[in-house]
Amino acid sequence: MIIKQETESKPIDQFPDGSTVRIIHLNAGKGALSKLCALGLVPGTIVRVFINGKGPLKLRFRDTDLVIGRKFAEKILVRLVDDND
Amino acid sequence: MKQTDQKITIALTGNPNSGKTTLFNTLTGSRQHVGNYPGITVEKKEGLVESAGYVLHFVDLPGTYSLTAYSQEELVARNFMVRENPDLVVDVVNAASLERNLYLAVQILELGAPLVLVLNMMDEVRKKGMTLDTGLLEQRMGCRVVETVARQGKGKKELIDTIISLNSRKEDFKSPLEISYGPDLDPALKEMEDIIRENAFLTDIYPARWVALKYLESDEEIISEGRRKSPDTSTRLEDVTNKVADHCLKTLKTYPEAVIADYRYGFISSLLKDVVTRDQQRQRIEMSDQLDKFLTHRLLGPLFMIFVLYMVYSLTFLVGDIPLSLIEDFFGWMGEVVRRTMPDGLLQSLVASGIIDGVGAVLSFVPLLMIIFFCIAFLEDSGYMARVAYMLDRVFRYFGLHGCSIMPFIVSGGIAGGCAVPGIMAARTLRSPKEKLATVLTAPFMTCGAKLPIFLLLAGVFFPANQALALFLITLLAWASALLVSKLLRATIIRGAATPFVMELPPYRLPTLQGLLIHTWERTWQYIKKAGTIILAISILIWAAMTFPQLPDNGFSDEEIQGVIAERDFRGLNTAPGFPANTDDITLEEEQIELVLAERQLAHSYAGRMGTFLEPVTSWAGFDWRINISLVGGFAAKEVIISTLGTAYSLEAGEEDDPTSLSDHIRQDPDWDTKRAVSLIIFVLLYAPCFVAVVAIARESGAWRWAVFAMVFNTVFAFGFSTAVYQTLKLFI
Repeated sequence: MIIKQETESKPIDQFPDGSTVRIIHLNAGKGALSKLCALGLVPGTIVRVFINGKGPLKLRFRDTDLVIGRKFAEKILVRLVDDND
Repeated sequence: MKQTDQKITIALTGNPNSGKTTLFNTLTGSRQHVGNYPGITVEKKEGLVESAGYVLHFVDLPGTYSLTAYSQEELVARNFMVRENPDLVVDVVNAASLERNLYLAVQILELGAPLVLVLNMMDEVRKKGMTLDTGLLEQRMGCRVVETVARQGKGKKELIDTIISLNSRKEDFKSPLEISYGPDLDPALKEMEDIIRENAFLTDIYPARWVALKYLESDEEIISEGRRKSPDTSTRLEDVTNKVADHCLKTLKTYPEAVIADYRYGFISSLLKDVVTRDQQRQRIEMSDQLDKFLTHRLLGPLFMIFVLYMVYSLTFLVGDIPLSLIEDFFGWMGEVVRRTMPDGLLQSLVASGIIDGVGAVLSFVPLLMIIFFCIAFLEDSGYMARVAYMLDRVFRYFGLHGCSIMPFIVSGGIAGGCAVPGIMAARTLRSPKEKLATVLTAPFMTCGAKLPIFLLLAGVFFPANQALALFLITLLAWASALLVSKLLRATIIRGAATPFVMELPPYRLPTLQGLLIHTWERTWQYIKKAGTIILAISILIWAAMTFPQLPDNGFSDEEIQGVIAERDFRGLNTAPGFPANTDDITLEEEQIELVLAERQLAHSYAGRMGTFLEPVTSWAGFDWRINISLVGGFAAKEVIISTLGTAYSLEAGEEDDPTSLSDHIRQDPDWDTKRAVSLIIFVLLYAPCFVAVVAIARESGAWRWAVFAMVFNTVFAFGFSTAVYQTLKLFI
């Protein structure tokens, strides 16, 4: 999976349902950043994109389901990881 | 409380959806609402438990994920722990999601607060095929850990015993937890701690390292507190902070907050190593996921949602109609008894027309409200309400609102029967001031429990076959008005970009009967209390306004009486059914004179004069002076509308009349027709919020001008709408 790991990080809303991704960077201002951190979305976290349709994304991480608006999701830069990562 | 009992104050804290409120209910049996939606608990709730000679005083703090200064809830929780010095802080965590829930616990330990960790929802942990080594966790955290299943009351006794046993050993807690924040932050933290200690800077309230951390996190509350305390020291700390922030941005391309959060999670991971073990064989498909496939399906989800909302109404009408008419009959009978037994005069009039009719009209709707409240509690506690917010986010975004606006709307009466006051309070969870303002200003359009009685009454009289449908349409109109007005406001006077939507989606849970009953009873009791106090007072006030000034006592000359009779004859009153044709009957003459005199008296009173004064304008919308009186009263509280109509009709009918209900009065009155009913429904739905809600708007928006705006704008909007509908209907009916 070396090729995948070397690809540039992309906003999480660009990944389809069922993707497993790792947070690389939070491109957010202080308020949004603090909120994301408190919810457990810190860099390094493995997140499963559960539903990515037209509305908010449904994410699963750290044994929690979270729905997050698309504007907010754009701030979360992630990289695809293998399921066995 | 006995004199000898020792009081222990315990702050109950935890993430939203951790079952904190359920535990609070289980412990104290208090009247307290429990919801699955994050941020339901905004107010401070307290409850007492007596055990073994101690009185445990629990304070239920708002559910929070963190202790930053970014939201009111977090500030409330943090300030309580620091300033009120509770004997213990009990942090309730969802054990099935331990890693994320410990984020708050770690911060409490860093604050140096005396922590007891409650691992709640242990049943879900087992269902998920996980096992927890509680002893190991206790050892690593350095605090007591108690396992509970709050829904079933399990672990309640252990928790109480632990609290009592720890209370005598408070000195054990004194040293705050210190976590390493890595090579980039640790030296700066050390430097700042030294400065803080040297100057005894805020150390009387907070641990030194914690203050340093908050400076690094750019915590506005602590920094401004620091500046007030000692501007020089604060400047030195801010200098260090700026240096670190620059360094983080250059080398790590991030803010210190992110580094801090990262290390906290790292610390939690090390805490949990070998504490949590997962059964890898058991790849269960979660029930919630299965349900969500259907319930949040792109097409079926919204359809099901509409079905659920409609079922709530139908259930309310089917079941609620029976006790409703029983209570109505009871108050009618009571009025009759008073009129028969008490001597004629002002006191009898006060009791029968002011008190019994007024409060009776309000209380008779209690059964309906209880059913609606029960349904809402079920939807909230089951986790379905959070899905509704999730599905509606796109719609709300379009109208310049937030997915979280659903809660204020629903509490205000988005599902008929709420109250705008807690609804407006629920808007506190909205972080963006603009979406919050738009929500707060439009939530009062919803069908609150106080408007409901007048809708139920008019629907019952004019649409007896389609009551449920009528109520459903009224609610749809409320939503349409709220959304469109919000869109208008967000495009004009409250312009600004949308705030990001983020919300936890709790798993579906079967609500506990205790939780549902407590919730239902709490809301109903609030309604009854309001009816019994504010409403009663206003009812009496309005009775007085309708009774005084009195017509000159027996000040009617023969000519006048003849004139009155002529007027009555002209109106054709003596041909009304039930009146014998024999006009020589003296008793009958007196009765009819009484009737007309009562009406003249009402027109002569303060309220009547005001109603008459407004009539030329309000007649455009089909309202006469009697309706005007009740609508003016409705500014004070919407319940008053119906009680005033009750009073007005009762007074007008005179003392000898049958104790028939208000709906019968309206049904028989030729002035009442469908177009007036529709116009009145629209006006009552949309016009100025009651003064309690107005006060809430002022408080939540932080400015009285928004409260005044809500009163004026809503009334003008409602009147324009009602007039348009009334005049249109006039063309067709």
